[in-house]
Amino acid sequence: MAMPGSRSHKRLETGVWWSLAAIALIVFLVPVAWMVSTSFKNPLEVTAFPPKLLFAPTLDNYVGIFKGVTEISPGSYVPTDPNFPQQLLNSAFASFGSSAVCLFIGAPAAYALSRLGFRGKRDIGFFVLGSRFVPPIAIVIPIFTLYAQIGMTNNLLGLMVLYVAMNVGFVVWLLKGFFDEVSKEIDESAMVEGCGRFGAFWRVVLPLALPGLIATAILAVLFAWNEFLFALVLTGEATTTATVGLTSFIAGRQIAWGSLCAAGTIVTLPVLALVLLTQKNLVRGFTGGAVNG
Amino acid sequence: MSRDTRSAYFMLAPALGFLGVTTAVTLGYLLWTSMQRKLLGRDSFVLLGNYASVLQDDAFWGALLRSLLYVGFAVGAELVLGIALALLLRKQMRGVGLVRSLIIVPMMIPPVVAGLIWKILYDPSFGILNYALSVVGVTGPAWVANASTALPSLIIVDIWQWTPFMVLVLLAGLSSLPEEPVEAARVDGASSWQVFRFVTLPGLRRIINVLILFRAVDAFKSFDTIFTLTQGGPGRATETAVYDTYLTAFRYFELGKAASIAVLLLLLTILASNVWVRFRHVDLVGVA
Repeated sequence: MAMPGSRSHKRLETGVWWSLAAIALIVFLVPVAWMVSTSFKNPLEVTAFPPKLLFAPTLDNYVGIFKGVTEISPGSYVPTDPNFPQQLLNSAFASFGSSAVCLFIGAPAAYALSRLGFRGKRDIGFFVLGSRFVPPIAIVIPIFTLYAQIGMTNNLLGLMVLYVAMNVGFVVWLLKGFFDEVSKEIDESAMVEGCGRFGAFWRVVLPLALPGLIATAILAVLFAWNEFLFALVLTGEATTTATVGLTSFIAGRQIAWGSLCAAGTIVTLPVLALVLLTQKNLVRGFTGGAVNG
Repeated sequence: MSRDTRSAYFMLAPALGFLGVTTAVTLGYLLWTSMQRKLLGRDSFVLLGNYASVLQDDAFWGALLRSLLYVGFAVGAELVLGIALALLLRKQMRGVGLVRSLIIVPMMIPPVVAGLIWKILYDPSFGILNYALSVVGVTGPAWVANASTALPSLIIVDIWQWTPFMVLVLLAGLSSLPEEPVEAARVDGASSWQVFRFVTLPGLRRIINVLILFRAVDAFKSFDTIFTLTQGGPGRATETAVYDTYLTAFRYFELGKAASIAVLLLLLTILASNVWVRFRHVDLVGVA
């Protein structure tokens, strides 16, 4: 009989714990792993029933999406959207570019909110955080109308403007949290040495908060990279992003599963890798800094 | 104006200016468009005509109901599962760090990809979900192809994607709870369940209130997975409020009507958030 505290009780506890943890891991990871594994299957193996766990992997799907052709069933090939590489570049440009702008205008703002007392501070804080509560559909309709009128519907910069607007709120709030962690005394001593407010920000606080800055930048890139609705509506053929390009593999009834999974894996892995490197600051990022990690 | 205030406005100007302009332009155009009926290139000004027709439209209320069901079930399940998993993962077992890092994968992938992944899993002919069910003798449904299981299928995907988010935040919350009340309760002879219910849970109340707010607002906005998995169908089974707005604008090209729906949804979100913040005493500016 396992008494609490006894060795066998401890072992039972550990066993139960690991079983539950394993179930959780399986539930959350297997779907993603399945997509990755499907990307290496040929059409017959993809639709095999019972589903195949072991198979001879092939790189055909990956080669195919870059060449613009896919094998939809054994021996029959259909052309796919040859623009996928361009779409990846568009995604990269839009997400890194908008993230950079966010940091550029957001860091000084965050510093001001962190250090300086002034009238209206609380209202400004809410304004900055409030953009989260707006459904993107309420933004995309008027912006689409506007862009259509001024001929900007096929313009990556137009999309980036929206990404900056989408991210700057939480970037400011996150950075404020990071700046708050840098002691105000450091600013004071810098200013005593003749630095000036901006100097203290630029030369002292910013370098000290660098890890936080990097984490924030990565999260901004992630959100922009993963975004779909704005890119769907506001871009044209040459400027579409990877997330939208993915859906072009789902054309009607015939779906090129292998190629779809290969494209999906490519769209997912880089940013996922980046983020797993900065996961310490994820809690703050996803709650917009409202909760500290 | 003090020097501090001057510096503050100077440093805030780019961000605030940008946000101010984009907000004004967006809201302005939204309201302007909502008051117009666009027919064959001729715009007519109908003031509140669109709003009247939307509010009398059964499709709108149906879509709204579907959204509320989606948000209610998704966030509810995510909260319960999130608390359970957070309690599990807070133990300092060997390897818990690795489990914590890996569990966040679903919320990092683009929602479109999540939709794509589940499209494969849900497939009735070769998806592993129905295969796994058949192994234990259960015949799986057609998931997204069946009108009665389509919305639940989408809710499952949402739960899969966002429970890790709940877990992450709750873990942070749990780790900041003080030890003394727990120890005091145990000394008084409280069982684990009693400790959880009367000490831990109340301690988490503030974080849970923020979590429910954020997740509910986000779940309401869901679009990508609906687009990839069901496109609002079968029939109207998965046409949520947001998706209905999208269809109205970009499938049926009734931009004026869509704009008015968007305004209504925006008002609803702001109203609901305000009510929640007030009644649950949520302190957004300083939950730490």
